Amino acid sequence: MSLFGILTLCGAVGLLAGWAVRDHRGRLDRRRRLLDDCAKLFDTHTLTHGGDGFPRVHGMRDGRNLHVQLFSDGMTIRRLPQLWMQITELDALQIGGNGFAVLVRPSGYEFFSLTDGFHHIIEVPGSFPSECIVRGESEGSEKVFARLIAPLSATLADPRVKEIAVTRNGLRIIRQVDEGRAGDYLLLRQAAFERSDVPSAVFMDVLERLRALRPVFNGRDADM
Amino acid sequence: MTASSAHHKERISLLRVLGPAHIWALGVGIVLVGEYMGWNFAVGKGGALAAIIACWFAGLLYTCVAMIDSEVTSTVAAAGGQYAQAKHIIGPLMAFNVGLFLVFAYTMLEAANAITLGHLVQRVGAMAGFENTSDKPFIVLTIMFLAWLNYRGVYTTLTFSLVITVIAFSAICVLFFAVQPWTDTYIKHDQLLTGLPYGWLGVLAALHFGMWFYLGIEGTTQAAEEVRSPARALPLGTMTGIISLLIAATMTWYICSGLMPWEFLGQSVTPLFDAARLTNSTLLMVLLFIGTIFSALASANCCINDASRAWFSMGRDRYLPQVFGAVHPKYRTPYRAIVFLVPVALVFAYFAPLDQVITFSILSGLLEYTFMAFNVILFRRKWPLGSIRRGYVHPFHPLPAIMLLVLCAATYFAVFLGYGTQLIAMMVFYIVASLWFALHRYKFVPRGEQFAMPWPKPVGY
Repeated sequence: MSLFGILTLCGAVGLLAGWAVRDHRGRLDRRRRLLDDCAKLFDTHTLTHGGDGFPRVHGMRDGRNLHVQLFSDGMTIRRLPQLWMQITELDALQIGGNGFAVLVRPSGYEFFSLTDGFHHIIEVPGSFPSECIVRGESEGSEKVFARLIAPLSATLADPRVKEIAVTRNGLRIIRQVDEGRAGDYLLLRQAAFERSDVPSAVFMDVLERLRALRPVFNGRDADM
Repeated sequence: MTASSAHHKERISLLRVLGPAHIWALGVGIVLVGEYMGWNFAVGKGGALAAIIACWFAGLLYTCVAMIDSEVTSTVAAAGGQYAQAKHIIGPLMAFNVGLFLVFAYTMLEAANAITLGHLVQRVGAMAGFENTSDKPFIVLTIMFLAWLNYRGVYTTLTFSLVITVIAFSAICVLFFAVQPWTDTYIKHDQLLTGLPYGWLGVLAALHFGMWFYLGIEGTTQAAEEVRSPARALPLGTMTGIISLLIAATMTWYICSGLMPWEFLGQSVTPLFDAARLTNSTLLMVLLFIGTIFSALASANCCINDASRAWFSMGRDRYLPQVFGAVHPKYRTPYRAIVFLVPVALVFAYFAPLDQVITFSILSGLLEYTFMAFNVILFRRKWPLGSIRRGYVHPFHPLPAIMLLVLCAATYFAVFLGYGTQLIAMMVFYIVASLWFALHRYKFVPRGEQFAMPWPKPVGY
């Protein structure tokens, strides 16, 4: 191959590499703005970004202390990457060490799940999705769980809900907001999501579901 | 946009599922590297005709794999693949072994891709006048660079991925038409096809590398998290993928066996690039160079991703020390698994010849397919038809499982004929690893938490 050929080849590779870098930067930029709409719904908030570029919002809304986080999950073999939204309502519940978590479609790869840390197996009610596990911190978790079955069933009827956790620190729901494009993942294991923003309606929907769990604890925390 | 229309739009996007045509196209893209290197070692084992016969027999083996895998995947949560199936249907020891099969099949394939890339750069360097170019630095650089990308979780979009795949796939098609297979200008089958130099034993020996054309096709079906792939798409998509690979493989064989003698073809590291060189067309050489580089890079990248995730999941399940089950706090990648597997890939890529590295990868794949045959037999016994809901029921059971076992046994024998030492070494490795797991590691495994399927108790338990 002539020197000209080598230079042409290097130029082509350089152009492609430049294109890839620009492409990557563009995607990171889109990632960082995913929660911009939701952040506007807070009374006060702090917006930060993780090392992977996904945003996190921590703030107050209607007196509720909320922590919202997006993260990509590409850990499971033979499953498309998932974009999860985790909303935690930080508000101490007087349930002691009787917390629990419900995980839908467990595969063992859920690095984000609280279920993994709980080892008391609780029987799954018939009103829950078929592929589901419930684990508690202790035997006492069963009592706390039993009082929440109805609102939990209603929330779990949405197949996009992945995990619901109830602990002494508060309530948490993890919900799917997008799924990676199949082509990108299959060809080069890329986690490419189509969303340019998380709609505020999705955020409000999860807040309502968290609110639906609250009345059970109101005025009865001392019973736990 | 109102809340309801936003909700409606979201629901539509979540209902996306893979159709058979989609799976077919992607399946070809994934296994493309098998056309660029490795398959031709089958020619060295028994001649060009033996290679094409072995390729068709391997197609039969993969047809059985596709039928069996479709049934189990449509019933057991597809996420996790064979590893999850082994956990639910057989038990932790089998799951541990299947996890290792996956890790080593992918890591060896990654090493093979790096060797091919290094060799190609060395060849092109020599052609350009740099006679002393060594392939080793490029091998090391490839593995380190891709591992770094995976560690950092660096992504680009499909526009870039598509460019790579389209170039790699169209390069084969361009070469096919450029050599004018309808004339004898380039293709000299009348002079080069010399029958079966080692007789039918050569055909059997070639079966070993015949698998290379398809290795990994069973991984094309992916599970959506919320919407499962329809039962129809799994078998149909994989089967059409196999058929198209069969056609592409036959095209590749036709070009290469018509351009170069089997003794040379059987030892080539980059058969398609060498075929392009024989046409004396610089354009074709550049095209096939780019195709080989891109397909090897894409394949190696996927291998690092999959091997590290398999290693990570074994760490999470405590089949391996839990340190491997860690996720990077910033990049959300299984960074310890990625880093741990780098030296493994480097050692094999640096010190072992390509055919041996490919043999290790094929052997791990072969063990996985053998598991699948036993797995489906046990699956039907423990949970007979009607006891649980199945998305797809494969026909003629247990014929596909028996045929798969026979073909796997023939392939083990084929490996033994040419690579007996490697076969024994690998078996000893898996036996020692299994002993370590059963006698030491198993006590750390949380047994009651392994089974997550809402199935009735299996028959006989």
